[in-house]
Amino acid sequence: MTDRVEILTRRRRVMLAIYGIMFLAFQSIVFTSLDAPVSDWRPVDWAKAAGFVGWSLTLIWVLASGGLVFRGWSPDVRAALNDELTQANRAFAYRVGYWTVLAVLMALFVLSQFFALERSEVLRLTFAIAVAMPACAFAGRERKQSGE
Amino acid sequence: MASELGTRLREARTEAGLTQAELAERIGVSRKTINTVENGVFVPSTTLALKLARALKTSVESLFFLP
Repeated sequence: MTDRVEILTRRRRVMLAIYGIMFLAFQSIVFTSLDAPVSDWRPVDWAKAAGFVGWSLTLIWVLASGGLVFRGWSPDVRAALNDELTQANRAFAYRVGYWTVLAVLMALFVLSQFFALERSEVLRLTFAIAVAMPACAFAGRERKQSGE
Repeated sequence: MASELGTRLREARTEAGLTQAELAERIGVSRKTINTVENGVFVPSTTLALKLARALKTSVESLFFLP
């Protein structure tokens, strides 16, 4: 069982790190084409928006569910995947996300005194960071504890 | 926080002839959790401390202490 848990823990960690970074990197590309009013969206824009929402929900779900993402495994494996250390790491990741979003909002507030910021830009940036930062923080914390 | 709690978990586990993986399996946590507790990186909850003590047939006080 322990080997299985280690493999799945590593897989979860790598997935969160890679997809979190990719999410941050690609969100501007996806959203740039969505600046037009919704009434002018083409089918491809709807597909991009749906992909973005799906990607966001997947990251949030993987982080929040712990072992539940691996429903096919035995209860022991699922319990070990969502044990006390994992829950503590998740709480740490949420804290990192909270403070990062707060810092970004403060920085945007200061910037807004000098530059005109689009509401959609602010929402996009805040949302992307709120989703990606906890995922990356969780992965980083787990990696550090694994000693890799 | 972690540095405020001393632990003799590694010694107790070795005396019991268990590996980290075996102890982890007995109490239903990951091996990494055992490793972080042994290294003082992670402070376990009361529940986990009691499970560790029970699995190692000892008391919580003999596993953890305030330096």
